[in-house]
Amino acid sequence: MKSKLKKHAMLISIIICMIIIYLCTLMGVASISFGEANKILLNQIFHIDLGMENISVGATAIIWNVRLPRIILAFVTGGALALCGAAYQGIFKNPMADPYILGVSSGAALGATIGIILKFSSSFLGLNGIAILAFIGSFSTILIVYNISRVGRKVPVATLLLSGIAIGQTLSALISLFMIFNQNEMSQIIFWTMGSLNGKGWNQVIAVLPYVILGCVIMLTSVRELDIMLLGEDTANQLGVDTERLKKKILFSSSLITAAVVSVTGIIGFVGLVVPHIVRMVTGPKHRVLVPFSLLFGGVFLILCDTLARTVTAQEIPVGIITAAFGGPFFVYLLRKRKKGGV
Amino acid sequence: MKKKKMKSILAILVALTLVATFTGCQQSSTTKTATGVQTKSGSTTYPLTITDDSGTSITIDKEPQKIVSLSPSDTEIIFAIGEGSKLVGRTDYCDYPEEASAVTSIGSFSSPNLEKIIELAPDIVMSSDFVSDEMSQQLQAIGAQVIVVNPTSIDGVLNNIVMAGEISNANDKAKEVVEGMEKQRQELIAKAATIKEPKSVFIDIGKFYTAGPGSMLDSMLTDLNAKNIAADATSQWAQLSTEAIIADNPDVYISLYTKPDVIKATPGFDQINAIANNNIVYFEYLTPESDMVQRPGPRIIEGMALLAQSIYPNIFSK
Repeated sequence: MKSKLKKHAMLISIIICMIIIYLCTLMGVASISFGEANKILLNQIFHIDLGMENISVGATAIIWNVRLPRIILAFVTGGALALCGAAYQGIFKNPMADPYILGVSSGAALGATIGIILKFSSSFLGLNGIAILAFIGSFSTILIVYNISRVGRKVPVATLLLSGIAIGQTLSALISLFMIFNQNEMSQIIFWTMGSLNGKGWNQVIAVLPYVILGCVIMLTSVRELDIMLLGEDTANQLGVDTERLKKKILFSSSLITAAVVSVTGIIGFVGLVVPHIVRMVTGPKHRVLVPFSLLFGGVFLILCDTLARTVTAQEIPVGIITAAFGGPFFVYLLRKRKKGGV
Repeated sequence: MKKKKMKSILAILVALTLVATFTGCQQSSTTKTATGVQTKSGSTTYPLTITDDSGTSITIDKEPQKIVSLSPSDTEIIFAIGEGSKLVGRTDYCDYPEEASAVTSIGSFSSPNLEKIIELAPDIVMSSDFVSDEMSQQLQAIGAQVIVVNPTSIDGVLNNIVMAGEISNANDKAKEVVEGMEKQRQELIAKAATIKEPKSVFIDIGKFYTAGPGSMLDSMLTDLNAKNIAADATSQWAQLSTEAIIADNPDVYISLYTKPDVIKATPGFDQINAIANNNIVYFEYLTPESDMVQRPGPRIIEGMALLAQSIYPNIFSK
């Protein structure tokens, strides 16, 4: 029975994800009844008309253009961040690793800061100017960090971590400097860095999806090699794994995913750090299982946090506050449960 | 007998008049405006004890000769009451009136250069609540009185102008400014009260953050007989989800930062009355109009007039 459950666990999880996406679409501040919402969804997805005449255009817009894309973006973002977190924790063999550890978030924030100060407003493929600069900023940061840490053909993991932290700190200092000399823009810069899914729609989902899918495909095909890396870099090399190529693959795909996501949503913390740990307590450390389930659970986690952020009070709470408020204590609870001997 | 009585009555009358004018000249007298803001006139008697916006009681021994302003609105107030010549320091962001640019700058309003301020040796420092207690103490140690100016309503701004006038012995000019502002404000309120169908408004200060209850923008909307869709938010600077904005369906969308084409492109917004009817009012960030609407200084009522024109263009002409 247990192994049968395990076999179908992925399928069951995907179905649960879809159910959660559906249920969260029904929830929100605007008073739209479940019946109305269902009719709208049936109409938009399957083109079945069960009485759309009485439903206002505003309600359709809210369900189809506001809530659903926002929830899907939350799933993509949370899943992407958790996936990267799991991969980084594997490759750095460091439980504190998260997608931002190599300075990606500071790079994105610096790009956005420059964009806000220069009032950069052009847009390209659904991403606005600020998002494009944030993407360039975060991707450039990874390139810099990688090139600083490179020793010939090799990239020692410890050096990567240290350079990432150093560059990240330097960029944060630069951002503060920009803010001090441009105090009128300070609030706008702070608004951007506080991650939020408010006001995002299908354009943002479509803009992000190609990068995330590409990155995820690369990552998911590398899970077996990541498992072998757990034994240590030298052992892995002896077992035939090209560790340098693997590191490059993971770095590249992770940066692509994180840069895309952060440039659209700002910096949402905690998901990339905590979700892989929570999933690992249930699935075990094998990346074959850990990475895909981190993706699913990270996506669902952020959907739930974002739904709370936009429904609990009349005003919107930045989603990063909710992820920290729930992720932290939940993680502590799991740790204590494991200590008592039984997961 | 009659002549003597007349003479004594006349003498008493003359004496009384003399006493009245004498006391009137020596002390400042107070009068109240329509909304209860007390203005002063005449000369200030020093030492003067006032309470600033942080609740601190401050005693000013003599008429100040050198004032440093740590916020753009305070700079505007000082020039408006005719004491611009006493201003020896201002922030980088004090851009109005033009004469302010001739004054030495002491840095920014959140982190002013303490050494520069001390070098200028002011008697009075007018600051916003950005200045920390430690900095206040250091300024007081060199003999400068720190006056915290932090108005939360238009009445608060008027009171600040009166206070500034009293501190710098410019009561009459302050009274003139305040009465002018009050008059314009009451005219706007009276005209707005005639509106039979109030419009609903959403003010976007950037990323859907808005002016909630207790903010000056919210009080201005109330005065102008417009419904702020964020009036029941739980904090002063709340963020609304786009869903909530669509559901509340404002008639007028006032943006103080985001460009109109970006607002129109927000998913789901094309259903909103304001966007469908092209009633997006855009005050570009850092323009004089935008400052007028947001700076809690002498031009705030002009800002209120700008808002009135934006919301009810048929009633309020330019």
